[in-house]
This record gives sequence, C-alpha cells and structure tokens, in this order.
Amino acid sequence: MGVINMAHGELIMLGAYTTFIIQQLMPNTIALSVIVAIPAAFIVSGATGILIERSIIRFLYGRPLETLLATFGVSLILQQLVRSLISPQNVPVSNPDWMSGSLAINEVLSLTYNRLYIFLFCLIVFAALYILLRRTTLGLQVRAVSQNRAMARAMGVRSERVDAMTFGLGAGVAGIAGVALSQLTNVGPNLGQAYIIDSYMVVVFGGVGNLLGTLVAGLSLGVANKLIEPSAGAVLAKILVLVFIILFIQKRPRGLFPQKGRAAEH
Amino acid sequence: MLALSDINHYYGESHTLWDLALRVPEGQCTVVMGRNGVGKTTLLECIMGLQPIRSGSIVLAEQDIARKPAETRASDGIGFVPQGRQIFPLLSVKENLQIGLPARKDRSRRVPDFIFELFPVLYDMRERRGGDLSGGQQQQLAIGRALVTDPQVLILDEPTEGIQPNIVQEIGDIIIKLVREQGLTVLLVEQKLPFARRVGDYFTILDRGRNVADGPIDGLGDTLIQQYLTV
Repeated sequence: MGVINMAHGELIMLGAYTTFIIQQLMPNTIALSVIVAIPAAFIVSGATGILIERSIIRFLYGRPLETLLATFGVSLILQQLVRSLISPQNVPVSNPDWMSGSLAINEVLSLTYNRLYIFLFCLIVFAALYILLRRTTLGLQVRAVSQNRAMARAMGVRSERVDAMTFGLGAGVAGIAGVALSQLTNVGPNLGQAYIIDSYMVVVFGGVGNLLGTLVAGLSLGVANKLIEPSAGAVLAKILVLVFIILFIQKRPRGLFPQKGRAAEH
Repeated sequence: MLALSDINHYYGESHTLWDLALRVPEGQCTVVMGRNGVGKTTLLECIMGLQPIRSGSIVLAEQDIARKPAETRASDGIGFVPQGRQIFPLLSVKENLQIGLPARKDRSRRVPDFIFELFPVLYDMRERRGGDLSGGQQQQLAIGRALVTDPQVLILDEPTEGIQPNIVQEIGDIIIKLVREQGLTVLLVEQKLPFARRVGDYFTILDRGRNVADGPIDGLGDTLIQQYLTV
C-alpha cells in the first residue's frame, strides 16, 4: 500500500489502555476482563485505525515518506491524548489468576503461564489472520488491490473500502497485541514506542508483505536476542541483532522469503 | 447498447479526446482502430471510469454512468480486458477468476463452467499463480476473468498483442462465438487489420482524439486505411 505507519505502536498502546479501562469497569471479574478486552481492544484500535486512514492516510497512498511523517504526528497526538485524558503515569493492569504463576519443568527451568498463554494466543491470531487473507472474499480483495489497484477496481472491487478495512484490520490486531502486552509490561503512554522499532526489524527481516516471513523473523529475532542477552547484556544484544539485520539485507534486500518466479519481476 | 457522446478528456493540459462520440450496437462487435497515441486505450479507460472525463456522457442501457466510480462499472455490466492483460500476478488462476464473482447479478459463488469450456487451459492451470502463466495463457485468463462478471458489454484492448498466431486465431473464434451465440456486445481496440475484419461488424477510426470515420466493417476501404491507418 506504500504506507509506513509510525502510529502502529500507539495502536498497541490503545489496546493496552482498553484492557485497563475494561478492568476498571468490571473490577470484580478480573479473570474475565482479559477475555472481554480482546474484542474491545480490536474494536477500539481498529476504529482508530480506520479514522486515521480515512482522515489522513488515504490522501498519501504511494508516498511512503509522507505517510511516515504524518503518522509520526498522529503517534504524538495519541500519546498526548492518553496523558491528558487518563494519566501521564503508568496505570496498573492486573493479571488474572489463571495467567499468574509458572509451570516448573525442572529445578532450573520454569515457564510463566502468562507468557505461555500469550505465545499460544499469538499463534491463534496468526492462524486467524492467515485464514482471513487466504480464504475470505475480503482477503482476496485485499491481495488483488495491493497487486493492481486499477484492475481490481475494473473488476468491481471497492478499493477505498478495502483500504479502510485493511488498515482497520492491521490496527485491530495491534490493539489485540496491546492486550497481550498489558499482561507483560508497564502500561503507560510510551508503551508503543518500545515496540515500533522491533516491529520494523521483524518486517524488514521477514520480507515486506509476507505473513509467514513475519512469524519466522519475529520468533528468530526474539530468540536470538534472548540468547545473546545473558552474556552481552540487553543493550549490546539489541545492537548485535541490528547489525546482523543490516548485514543480512545487504545480501537479501527482500528479506527471508522474497517473492519467487515470473510474478516477482513485476 | 453503449453510446458515448461529447467525451472530452485531458492528461493535465494536453487535450486527448475531443468531443468524441461512439455508438456500440447491441449484439455486435465494434472495432476501434487508429495509429499509436490517438487515444484508443484512453477511450477504453474513460469508459471503465479509470480515467476521469472532463465532459460528456456514457450511456449504458439507458443509464448515464459517466459520473459513477470505476468500481460500479463491473456490476453495471461492463467487462474489461485491458492492454497488457493486467493479471494479478500473485493470485492463483482460480482467484483471478473469483475476484469478479461479487459483481455478478445472480450473486453466484462459483466460477461458471462455460469459462473453463471456452478456455480449458485455465482449468488445467487453476492452482498456478497468474504471473507464472505464458502471455497467451494470461490473455485467455484476462478474457475469462472479464466474463466472470457476466457482462453485457465486453471491452478488449489489443487482445492479440504479442500472442502467437494459433492463440490469436482461437481468441478470434471465441470473440465471434460470444457475439453470435451469446449475443454479447463487444468493443475491441485492434491494430491488426485482418483480425479486425474477421471479428468486427462495425469499425470506428480515431485520429488525434477524434472519431474521424465509422460504419459497417465492409466500408473500411483502402482510402480510409491509407489516410488513417498506414504508417
């Protein structure tokens, strides 16, 4: 689509705040709150995404640098909005009982339940997204519009609606990510900032527009980071991963899984 | 029946189509001819709504569609086979066909069988990616894809360009069959005179964005060819 969305991190942040607000609304049923927060965050972030797309991005399609600047502005606005309306401080989000504790495999290795649930949840979201793009009419239209907009319109695809739905879908999934993150990390106005750079590294490494590449790249970069961290420290680990990606894209500019065959030449 | 009148189109300051009028009679094949750069492809893109027109009307089945957005034309009954085929390269052949299904009047969820009967190669290749097909196969896919929307009018932009002779022959046969047997209205842009004569019922010659001559295809004589078509 030719859009670089710097506000994607803030859509994650909105999802995390949605979890916080849901918990404020139903303080006696924390166990359920996270489940309720998933669709709620999808709707809040998705609607915000559609609003951003309709009001700003649709005028900037095909001009990636301008979308980068404009959405950077949007990200600042969203952060300040949360600071002004809720609080500049971090807000408390509680873990439901069923996500607390850990699974002790042996004396030295135990895995916390919240991370296990989130890992499982990621796989489910990935599968749902994959099925949506591969098996539904909307998915077919999204792919057609991204490959040849004029021809898709000539075939009767309402391209503007598809743009809005695509952007809303991406934003909604970011919102869901926010629900997951609210269980792992501090929920504050700057939550999104920490993840946007990592996300870009994953996308560039995996290959732009490639769902499977994103999954493999996300998993491998995360694991690599954690393997280096104990010996080199968190900061050096990040730097090493970044250097690796820079070297990697010199050799494979299209990422891990580039498009192959005759079609890739277009 | 499709009727265009007083079409004016500009690329920026450059005036490309001048008060252009064109009648495409129902159940017949009309061939638009002319040298390179006279506005043939632009004209088709205007009919599809992919190029904005400055003025004029495009009447299809007694309804002026000139101001409607491009995405409504398919369900209004216009099928489009563009220049260069414009297959969706990363969609499978089947998906390339399915994309037109929502534009059908009967809301069918299946690609009609007659398309695979017209183009058996598409059935054999249905799981392959559109971009991996040869030029001739892509052209057949482009025609099949336009037919999925169940159009009243089929618009083709140089369907024989860069295609080997036996496939050109086949495409010609299919156009004739669609017109004669199914009563489809066809608007065809074509540079090759023998092909135009074989499939066409009527002709229109464009020169510098104007309709300079039209009539039954038998009237396309040597004087007109000398004046407007030979380079």
